[in-house]
Order: sequence, then structure tokens, then C-alpha cells
Amino acid sequence: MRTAACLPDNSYTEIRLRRYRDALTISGAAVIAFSVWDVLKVYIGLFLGEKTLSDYFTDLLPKIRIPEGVPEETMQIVLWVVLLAGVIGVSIFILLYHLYIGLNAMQEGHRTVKKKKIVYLVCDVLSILSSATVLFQSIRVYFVGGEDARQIGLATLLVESASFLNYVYLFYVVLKIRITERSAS
Amino acid sequence: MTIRQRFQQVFVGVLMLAFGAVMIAYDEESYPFIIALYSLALELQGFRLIWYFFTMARLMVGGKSILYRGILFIDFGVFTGSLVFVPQIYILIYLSGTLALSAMIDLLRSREARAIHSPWKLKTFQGAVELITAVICLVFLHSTAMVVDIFSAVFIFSGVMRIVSAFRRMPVITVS
Repeated sequence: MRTAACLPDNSYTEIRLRRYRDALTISGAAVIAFSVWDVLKVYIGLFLGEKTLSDYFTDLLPKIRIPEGVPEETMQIVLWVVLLAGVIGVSIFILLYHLYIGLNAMQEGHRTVKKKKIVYLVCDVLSILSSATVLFQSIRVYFVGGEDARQIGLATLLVESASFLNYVYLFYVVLKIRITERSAS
Repeated sequence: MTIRQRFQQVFVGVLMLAFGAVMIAYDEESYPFIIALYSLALELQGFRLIWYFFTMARLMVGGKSILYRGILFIDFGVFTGSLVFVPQIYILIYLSGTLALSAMIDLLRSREARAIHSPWKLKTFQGAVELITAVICLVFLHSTAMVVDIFSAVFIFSGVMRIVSAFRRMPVITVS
């Protein structure tokens, strides 16, 4: 019988640390996946959904005061460019923000960095707060009912609550890892 | 394959045959039907994953990713069902993409099967046919009625292949 080349350290704290790090990796990946899905949904909705980007365009156009001496065609082109640039810029910012949180969490889970980082935890707390407000709004609209109650279905509620719980869980796991490491050393 | 898996394969094959026939019968009006089918399949997959999480994966290492995947699948399915206006060309491009992907998977699997000396010719044939039809669909993208016919033909073809492969004898690989 051949013995293993590398004997794993199976003490109690080591097992717990491994479990937490695995959970942290999955949480980081889930943060990235949820944000990518959200952005994709916004894009599909804007181009194929009930209210497309051109509807917003036709809504917005009469409200804008056109300066004198500017033909209407240039104003339309400028409005289109501003709308598209706004949508693309916001979506890229959201993607990068969640990519930052998720990649840092995955790095800490895989132990590829030595330094302990704080900034992404602050970002995570901000995400917790924002997603909690969004979730609260959605629940209120879903159960009480407002003017746009039709847009929020059970599936949206499910995804929002899952992403909120994921943020909270990520924070909890990082705290657990830090505390366990400190008490072990 | 176990007996239950064989039954499942035959069942899915018969369903695919039926859907192919319906698609041929309704020609161009079958686009909403295709979308509904697609969203239903995604939702079922999501529910299956969540059921799997609560019965089994809850206790596994890294089982939480299955829960997240199930939730995303359900949302994707519901969202796809809620799209009211989808240009046909997008659906066609999407369907050709899925067809090409499944063809690639079939080809890779047949290569794997060849490496372990298990039957591989049928799978290679299926993958090649699917790949060729995906290319043909992209070529004939302009005439939508023709593409629907091609798709339903492929649907029926892969349904038949599923039923055929369900009744074949498979070598059992044991790990010694």
C-alpha cells in the first residue's frame, strides 16, 4: 500500500477554514454571475422588451428644450448618443464593481494573495445596503401593489433575495475566516 | 444506462418527434411556440436543480452553487417567456448557436468514446449532421419558412437518434 505524498492537515480548525474558503469562492463567483445576469437582462429588456430604448427616446424628445440655431436632426443624434452612452457606461461600471468584489473574494478563497484586503468588504457592505433597499421596495410593491406591480414577478423576487443573502453570507464567511485564522495563530 | 434512464431517453425522443411534427404543421407561426418551449425547458431545469439542492446538494461541498444556478435558470426562463416582441432572426441565430454547440458536444463525446473503444460511429454521424445543418441554417437565414422546416427535420432526426441509442447495448466501464 502506497502512502499519500501529501498528508492533509485535518485538524478541527483546518477543516473549518477549508469549508469557509470554499463557500467564499462560490459566493464570489455568484456575485459575478448575478451581476452579469442583471446587466444582460437590462440589455435584452431595452432592446426586445415591452418598453424599448426607442420608446424612451420618443418620450424624452418633446421634453427637451432645443437651443436656437440647432437643427432637430442633430438634437436627435445627440440624444441617442447620450442615451446609449449612459446605458453602456452605467452597465460597465456595475460590472466592474461586482467583478472587483467577486474576484477579490475568489482570490481570498483560493489563497492566491497574502495581504488581507478591506476595501472589497466595504464595497460588499454597500452592496448589502443597496440590495436590501431594492429588495424591500420589491416586496412592498409585490404584496401591497403599486402602479408597476405587474413588472415584478415571483422570479425577480427570488433572484433579488438570493443575491442579497449571497452578499450577507459573503461578509459572514470572511469574518469567520479572519476570526478563525487569528485565533489559530 | 439503467432501465429508468432508457425510459427517460425514449420519452424525450418521442416528445422531440411530436414537437418536430407540430413545427412542420404550423410553419412560420410556430415562433411563439418555440419561445414558450424554450422558457418552459429552462424553468423545468431550474426547478430540477433547486429540488436537487434541497434533497442532496445541501450536504455537498460547494453545493450552494447548484442553488444559485437553479435560481438563475428559473429567472432566465420566466424572463424569456415575458419577452413579447422578439425578431425572428434573433431566435434563428440563437437556435443555430445551440445546434452548433450540441453538435460540438456530440463530436467531442464520440472522440472520447473512441478512445475507450466503445461504439462511436453513430454519435459522430449525429454530430456531423447537426453541425452541417447549423451551417445551412446560417446560410439560409433570410427565408424563415425554410429554416423552420430544416429545424423541425433536425429535431425529428435527433429524436430518432435518441430512441435508437436508448435501445442499444452499452459496454459498462468498471474502475479497477
